[in-house]
Amino acid sequence: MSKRFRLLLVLVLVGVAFYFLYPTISWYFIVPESKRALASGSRTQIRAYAERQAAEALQELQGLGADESLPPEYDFLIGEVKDIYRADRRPLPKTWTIGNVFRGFPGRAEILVAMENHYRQDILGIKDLRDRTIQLGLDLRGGMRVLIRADLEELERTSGQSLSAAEKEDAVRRALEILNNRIDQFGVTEPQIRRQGEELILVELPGDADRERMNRFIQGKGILSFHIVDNEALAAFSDWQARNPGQVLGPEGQVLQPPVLPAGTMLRGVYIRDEYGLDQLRGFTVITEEVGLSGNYIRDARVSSDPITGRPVVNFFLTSEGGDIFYKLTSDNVGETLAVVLGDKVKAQARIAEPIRDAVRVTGFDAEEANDLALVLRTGALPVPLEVINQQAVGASLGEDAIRLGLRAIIIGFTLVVIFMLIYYKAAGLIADLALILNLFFIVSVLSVFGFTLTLPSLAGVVLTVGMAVDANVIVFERIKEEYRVGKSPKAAVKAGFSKAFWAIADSNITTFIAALALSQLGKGPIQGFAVTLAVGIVSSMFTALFVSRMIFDFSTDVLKVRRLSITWRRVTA
Amino acid sequence: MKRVYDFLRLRWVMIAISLVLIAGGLVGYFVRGGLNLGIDFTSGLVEQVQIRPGSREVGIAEVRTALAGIEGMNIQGIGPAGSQQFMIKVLAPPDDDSFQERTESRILALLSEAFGADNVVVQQSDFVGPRYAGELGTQTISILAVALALILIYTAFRFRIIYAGAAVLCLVHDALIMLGVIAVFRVEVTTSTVAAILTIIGYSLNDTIIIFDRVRENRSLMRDSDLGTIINTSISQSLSRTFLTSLTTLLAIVTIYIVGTGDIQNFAFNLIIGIVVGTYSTVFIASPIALEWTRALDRSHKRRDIQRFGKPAGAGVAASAAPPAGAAPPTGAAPPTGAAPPTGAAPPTGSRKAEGTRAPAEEAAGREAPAPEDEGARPRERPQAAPRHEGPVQVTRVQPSRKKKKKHR
Repeated sequence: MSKRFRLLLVLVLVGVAFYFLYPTISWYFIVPESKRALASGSRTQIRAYAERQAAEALQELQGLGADESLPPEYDFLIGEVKDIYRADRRPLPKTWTIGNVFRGFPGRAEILVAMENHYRQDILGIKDLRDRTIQLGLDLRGGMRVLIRADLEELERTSGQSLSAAEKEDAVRRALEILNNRIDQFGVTEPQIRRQGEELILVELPGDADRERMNRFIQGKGILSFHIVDNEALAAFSDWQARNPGQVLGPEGQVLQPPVLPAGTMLRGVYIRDEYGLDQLRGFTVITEEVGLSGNYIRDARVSSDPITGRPVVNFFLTSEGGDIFYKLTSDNVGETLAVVLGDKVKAQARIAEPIRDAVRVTGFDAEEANDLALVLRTGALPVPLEVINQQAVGASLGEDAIRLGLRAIIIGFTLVVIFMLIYYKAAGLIADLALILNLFFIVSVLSVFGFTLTLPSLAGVVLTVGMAVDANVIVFERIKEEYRVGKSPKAAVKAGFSKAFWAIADSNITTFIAALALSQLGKGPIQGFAVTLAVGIVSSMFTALFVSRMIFDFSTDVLKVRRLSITWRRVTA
Repeated sequence: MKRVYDFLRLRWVMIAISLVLIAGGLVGYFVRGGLNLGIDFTSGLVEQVQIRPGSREVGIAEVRTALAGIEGMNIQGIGPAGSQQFMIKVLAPPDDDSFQERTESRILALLSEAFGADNVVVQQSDFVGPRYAGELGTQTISILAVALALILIYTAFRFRIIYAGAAVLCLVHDALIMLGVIAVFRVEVTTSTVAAILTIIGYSLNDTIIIFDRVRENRSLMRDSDLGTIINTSISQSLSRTFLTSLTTLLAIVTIYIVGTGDIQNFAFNLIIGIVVGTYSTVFIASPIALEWTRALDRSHKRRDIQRFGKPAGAGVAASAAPPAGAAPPTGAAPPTGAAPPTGAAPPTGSRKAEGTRAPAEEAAGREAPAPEDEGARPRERPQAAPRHEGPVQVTRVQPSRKKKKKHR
């Protein structure tokens, strides 16, 4: 490989790593505190904020004179207004005064919408950013404490028998395990999940855990079901609704059951996700009370995106028993409409064109919802219904002093390694240090993709991984020294040193990598997290130690044409 | 030329020391009543208290100071800022029924003393289970077994089964000693302890493989030396690297141990022990195991050969023990007496046989024969000895050896 190509490859990788790390940098260092708090809030709060902000902004602009120029914080309106002017084939005004901007829009409502869109995208963008950042662990920053109750009475009621203490114990224990799998998919989230008392589960999540998401994690598989739409009853309901307007919804927005519905059917709201990710009621449908197919028959669920619309599609794969049920259901009801019901909301409806056996594609979910749903359906059924009874923010579990000392220790330790390499290996040590820092950068950026949660020990672990990664450099350097002492030219010594050290480094790393892979596939929780970190560290350190340092060495021998290798203090007699 | 130290001379002493350490750890484990499990693995008490806001301003640091006397306590602020609510977790000692009651009253007493009895409100008090019940430990061990098996397969493929076995034994050795030290010193066991042990296993494995890699390289460079000499040379050549890597890693960890506190300090302590043990075992345990294992295998081959052919291994049979191509290690050609000191000269009969049998193997592999006594292990310097000319008879003798070789491995 030519040097130029190698340099290009390294630069591209650095760029990619920066891209992964950017959300973290931006979240902790660029986004102001107030917006971070907003983005951590619920979607309803975000909507309220965007609407209020838009209304206030409009009022402010109206308060100013029409001839005054638009204040710079509203510049986002100009782009929009330009498009409207162009679409109307009107000449663009010379200056963007408030009057000119307002004249662009057909009415006040449109200005309000444009402003709301802006504020919404601003905060939702930050919210998305947050999902791709490195979180600080419970010990460093605290997070959210959620108390969940296992509804054992409900379990007894549905199963129709009283449960022994051991059975209850087992149900709660399994629920806890499933919850753990859902919350900590890659083992890097560092939640703390424990039983509290008889029937409670105490969950502590690092960072600003999303309250709505927690609710989704505790859903049972039965939350999803397929029902057939009763068209006759729906027609009867529409008729009734026309005669009795405003009587479908209860005081809290819940869907009531009008008296005209025949027995065995129920009225459900059809909801669509709005731009805030909130469910909006878009109509009603009448479905059979009898469950066509319960979500318990779903074996696996995967999210993909529709090739044409790009919208998320959830592919459900049914168990063989479920496939039989679904085949019978769909072949009996060809031409009818199938409703996908999540909780008590109809999320999607589709006409049954032909009988389906084992795989169902469903649209109508947004990406986050689809992913969470797929996760819930994939990770086994909850043995007992769960409900959140209390949510509170918790502070860091470590004292400020402990955090400060810990961080200081880690920084000093890392710096000592860097300084030692520099002193012992002179200029070559500088190369090793560069590789070291690049390695740290790569590891952290890859881990941020996994939603890594940084606790104090895991931070020490990452730094340690990087510190141990100097090993590869040491092996190479010792080999280069050996070759150099024999009287080889710098170029030849570097070449021989790297090629002889290669298999030693490769073998030792591949062996460890195999172990890391096994642990990451089989392990759970902290073991999996550890293995993921280890595997990432190995790949990254091999790349930086063998590829990047070799590149710099070659650069110094070929381009800078150094006559002597600065790698040892001992005199080299050529 | 680097000096070659005789690391193997003390091998029985070192193995004995290791066994004593492991046994000591085991005894310590039982004498000390098992491991000192942290809140991750044990149940405990979770109590939520509030220092009534408005009465006086209380920060988390003050509450921490007030409760400092309670062992295994952890405290977090909870709820909105300024509400002065705190969550206190206390480890429960095993088999102590009165623990909850006792601890609750003690917390209340300490807080009342510090902030006034009227201002302290206990909002909730409950017993919580461990974050990881017993399964984390057993799960780790069983997964580790799988991981070790995979390591065994890869190293057996890259090196030889004996080296793979030695490497894995060495890892088990490290983990056992670490656990022993953790038990004896009552270091609190948390999830980061598990991480520390896994880290050390990876570290020690790295160390061992680096030396075995050098042994593999030297085996083809020093064909007339016996395995003991080759191992000593390899360890000596890698010594500066072994030393430097341990030093840089220790530099980072000792700093964390000195400056840090609490969990991170324990983590550093475990790692310091692990690095020291791992480095020691690489030099003094892994290689001796490989050496003795190889010798034991040779001895058993010899016995079998005597049974089968009625005499000690003949030329053709001895060749069978040496892999015909590539690495051609001197193992099969090692002195059949077996008891010869590792660094000592091989008995004349042994070396004659070795020479006679190795040649065809090399011929078959199309390689040059190295000069005898090339301890230098300077790979570039091609040995001067001319390849021996061998007749077709010898070439045919190699054939049976190839078949038999598989059985040995």
